[in-house]
Amino acid sequence: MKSRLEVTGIYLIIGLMTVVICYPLAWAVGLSFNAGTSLYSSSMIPKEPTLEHYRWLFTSPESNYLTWYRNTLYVSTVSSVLSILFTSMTAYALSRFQFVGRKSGMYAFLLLQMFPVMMAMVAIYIFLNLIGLLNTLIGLIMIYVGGQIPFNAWLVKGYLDTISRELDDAAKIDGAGPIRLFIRILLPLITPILAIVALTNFMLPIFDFILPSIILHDKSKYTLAVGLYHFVTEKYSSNFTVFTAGAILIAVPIAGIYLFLQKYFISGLAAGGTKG
Amino acid sequence: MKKTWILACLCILLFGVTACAPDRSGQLGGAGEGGNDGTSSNNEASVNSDGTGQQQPDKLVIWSNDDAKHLKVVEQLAGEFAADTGVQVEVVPVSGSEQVQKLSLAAPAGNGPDLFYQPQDRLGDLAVQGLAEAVELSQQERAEYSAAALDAVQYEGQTYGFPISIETYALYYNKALVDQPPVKMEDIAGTYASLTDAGQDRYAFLMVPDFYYAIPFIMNYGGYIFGQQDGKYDASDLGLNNEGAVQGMSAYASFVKETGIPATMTTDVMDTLFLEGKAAMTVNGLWAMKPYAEKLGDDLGTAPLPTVNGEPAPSFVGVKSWFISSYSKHPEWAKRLALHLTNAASSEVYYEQTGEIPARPDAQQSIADPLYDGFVQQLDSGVPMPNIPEMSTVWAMDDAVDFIVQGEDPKSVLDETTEQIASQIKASGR
Amino acid sequence: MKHRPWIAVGLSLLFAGLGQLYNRSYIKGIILVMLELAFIITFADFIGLGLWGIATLGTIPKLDHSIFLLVYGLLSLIMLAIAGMIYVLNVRDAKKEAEQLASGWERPKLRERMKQAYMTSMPYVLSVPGFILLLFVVVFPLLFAVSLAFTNYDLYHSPPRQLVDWVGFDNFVSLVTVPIWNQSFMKVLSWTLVWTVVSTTLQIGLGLVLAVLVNDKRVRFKRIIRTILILPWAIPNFVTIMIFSALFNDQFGAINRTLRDWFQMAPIPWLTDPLFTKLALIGIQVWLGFPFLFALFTGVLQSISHDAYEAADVDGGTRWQKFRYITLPHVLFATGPLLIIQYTANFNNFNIIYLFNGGGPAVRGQTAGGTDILISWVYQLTFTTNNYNMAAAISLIIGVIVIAFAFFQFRRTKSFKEERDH
Repeated sequence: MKSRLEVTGIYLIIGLMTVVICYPLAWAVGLSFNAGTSLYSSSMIPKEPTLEHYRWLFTSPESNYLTWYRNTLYVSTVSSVLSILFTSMTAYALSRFQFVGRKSGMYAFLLLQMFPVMMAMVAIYIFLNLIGLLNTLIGLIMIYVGGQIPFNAWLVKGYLDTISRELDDAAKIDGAGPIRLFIRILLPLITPILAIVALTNFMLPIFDFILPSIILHDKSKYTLAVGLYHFVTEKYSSNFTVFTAGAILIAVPIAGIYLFLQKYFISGLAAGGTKG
Repeated sequence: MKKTWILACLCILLFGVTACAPDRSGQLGGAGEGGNDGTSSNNEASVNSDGTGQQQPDKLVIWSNDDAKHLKVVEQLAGEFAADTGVQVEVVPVSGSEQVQKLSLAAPAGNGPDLFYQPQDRLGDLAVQGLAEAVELSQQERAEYSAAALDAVQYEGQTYGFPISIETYALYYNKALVDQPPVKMEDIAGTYASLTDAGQDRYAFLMVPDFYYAIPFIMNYGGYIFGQQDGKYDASDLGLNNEGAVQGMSAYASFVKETGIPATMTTDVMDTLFLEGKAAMTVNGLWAMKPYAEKLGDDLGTAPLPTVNGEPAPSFVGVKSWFISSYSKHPEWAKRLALHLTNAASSEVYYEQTGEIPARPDAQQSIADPLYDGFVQQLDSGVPMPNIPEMSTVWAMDDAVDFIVQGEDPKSVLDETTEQIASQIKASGR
Repeated sequence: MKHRPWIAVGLSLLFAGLGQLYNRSYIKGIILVMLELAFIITFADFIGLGLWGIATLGTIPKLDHSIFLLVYGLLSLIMLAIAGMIYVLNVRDAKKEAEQLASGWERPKLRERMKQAYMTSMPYVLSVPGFILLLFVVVFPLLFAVSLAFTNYDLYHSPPRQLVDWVGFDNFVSLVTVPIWNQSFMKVLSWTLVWTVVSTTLQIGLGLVLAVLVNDKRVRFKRIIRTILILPWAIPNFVTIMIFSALFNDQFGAINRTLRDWFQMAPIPWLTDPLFTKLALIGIQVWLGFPFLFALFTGVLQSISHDAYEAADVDGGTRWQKFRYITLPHVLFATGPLLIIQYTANFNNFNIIYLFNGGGPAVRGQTAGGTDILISWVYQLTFTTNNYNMAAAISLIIGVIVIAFAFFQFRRTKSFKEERDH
């Protein structure tokens, strides 16, 4: 009896949280079907629902939405692949080798990244301009990939540390070099945490609007976040409904990814984060 | 450890030998800018460029505002220029609100435009940083533009911009709800009381309670922002807490209260209410005309702002203009392009496609749409928004307006805010 | 002829690789010589300009652009530092080899040496690409921001028209002496601390509670429930914050409307009363932040071994005792560094404060809005008047505070201790 009461309590709490989570989301969805451009609406479900904003995103010659979507997918894919490469290399070195600066270096970088970077964007701009990568997606990717290394290398190193070194020794006895050992033996074992690295780096370009708005000039090179952000920052022509429609079309696939990769996500994050 | 340091120092010394001032004789600045030869020769060019014919460039770059309407018309006009002169024009869309910041990085890096687009209130920033180049206009060229527009693009006695369009806010009203627009602000609360019912979201008259829209009250009672001397603004003379300003804000507070304007009103909410027919009158800028007209059709009317304290209401006027970048290698050609973009024929095209009021008297007169009457009349009583950099600190007045609308004592609020503005101006480093 | 280590050291100091040549390591020597030559040929001009630039920040307005020169200077210093490290290794290597040679050591076969070099250089080869990227993407912008704190870079000292100059600690002095800075500082700081502690602790707490509840083996449809609970994570933050900002509008927002229609409540001044804005901000941050922690804790809970619980069952421990003495310590201890990062992230959480209500509502008699945290206050004060130097100076102070806090907390966590035990 007590047990049933408890379970009901748990479901009640979960139900309450579901309402709290879905309430603003439902408003957002409702807004995206609302006519006009305003964020205000008298009811959650629009009186005269319209697909106009979605249609505008895809069909209007003024809309760059598909281009932005493509740019974002490109930046996301490339930077998540490169992140895996750089991160796993660094983490492997940190976990399995002794070398100068290993101990403090990793934490130093983690700490340095907590510094507020209001003024740092100017430096990145001039630097990218100097090496000719300003206003390019490659330049943007480079900054993303570099910036994620400390945190993710720390996560992956934590995960690698949990894998017994007896495996390494066995492989070495079989004559495997360090590279082969890594690719053949360790890499398959750390896929859960690499999935996290890939996923978070896939998300970052989708969410971030600050860096691309400084680096990218051409509207045709924008990523989704910066493109959408522009809909609502133009002082006299903000268009919240199109903005919301565009945002929902980003959120749906992401939610799908979360749903399907959930297992990896939860176990990988825990193992990397706890042992790092 | 010690040894490492000595070594490091040695290395730096070794390279330090080369670290002397770059040689600037001969080709000016060639080495000095690390590959940005463009930068320095630009300056050279712009210094000696008065009148003497410059070699015809292959291409000019122009930063247009990035919304679709502007972009289209600028591209069209630039195409005409290219056809006339053979100089190609590359039109790059850059959001108007980000142009100054981007320009300050892009221009020195050699990625800047020859001509860019800004409202005149950013002029001070541009001039102080040396991003915009002053222009010489002949008497004949000056006569093309309205005097008020030319005044607005002056900074410290020099003319900088080529005015494109001129804008302000005025009164919109819904003819289905209001027969005649009001003449006096002070009468609105009484005359249209029946139209207001906050419980039903119905409002007779809405304006966003902030400094931008409150300025007519401050000025018509004797307040001012900056004092003026010899046609220049004097940032050390603030008139925002003088007796007139205090009276004006008291009048404003009672106006807002009596008319029933909600203190948290935003443009977004106001537009929605007006479009839904729940608000009878709004004060808004020219930019709102298109969405309003689309929804309300013939019911939409405009009028100059009702008088305040018996005088026409001085609304803030903005002048959107083309400016020549200090880094342009072809300022003469940039000027020719700017003149083309703002000539009589172009201004008409510009008006037709963007709906903005041209900064030229001839083009203003040819506007046939009666909806514009309210705005064109309002322009006569408008005041240009001060274009000195110190203006950015004056927006602290938005907070003061909030406090006063919420019922705090105008005098002490204005004293406090003015003091804050003054100390921020002091701390800004001039 | 006797082989003398000091000659090797001297030669390789003179020019990288000469010492190795003297040691008769010809391949290594030639590579090093080529490296230095290439470095000098490629970068000498740039580094020369950069060092001059960072020392003077330019001498002729309009021609010299101080900010670009500062950037070139910092990049030059970084390149010199990298070159310096290689140089040090080069000298050390020459010395070591020469000493070995002098003591009559037989040089192994080339093949053998290659293999050895491959093994010792492996960790460097693996981490150097990432390290270099980090230098340019993380360290260099940081150095730039720090440098600006010691210049007079503001609107009236802005290139191209004006030059920027080094001013030492002047900005820090005016921070203490100029009223607009010192007036509101303590007030803003105290709210910043409250904000950080309350919002982060709540989001951690909520994440933990939900993780424990959903982890209960009697709960079904776990997958769906977990997906719903991490949904807020799937939407770009700035989108959600802006939507919340509209929902919370005092008069027209959906929240007050719902309260009015369902519960006949008077409108709550979410955006006009600092207290309510603070509550709203904390609520929104918890909404945005708990899903990550929920996912994290769910994973950790699954990794706790059952032995401890079984032992507790034998001892007759209550459920609360099991949570208090097994689950909680395990979870918090294990995720320590990640939790610290959560706190530091909220300390500098500019986006939510700025996008929700612009730091407002305004408060009389102070330059900071009622909900401004340090970072948003600095942004607003410095960017309206383009006081970049002050922005940099205060960022520096904030950075030092945050990093010091995080550093001491890190040292207390398990992983850091383990790290040091190695």
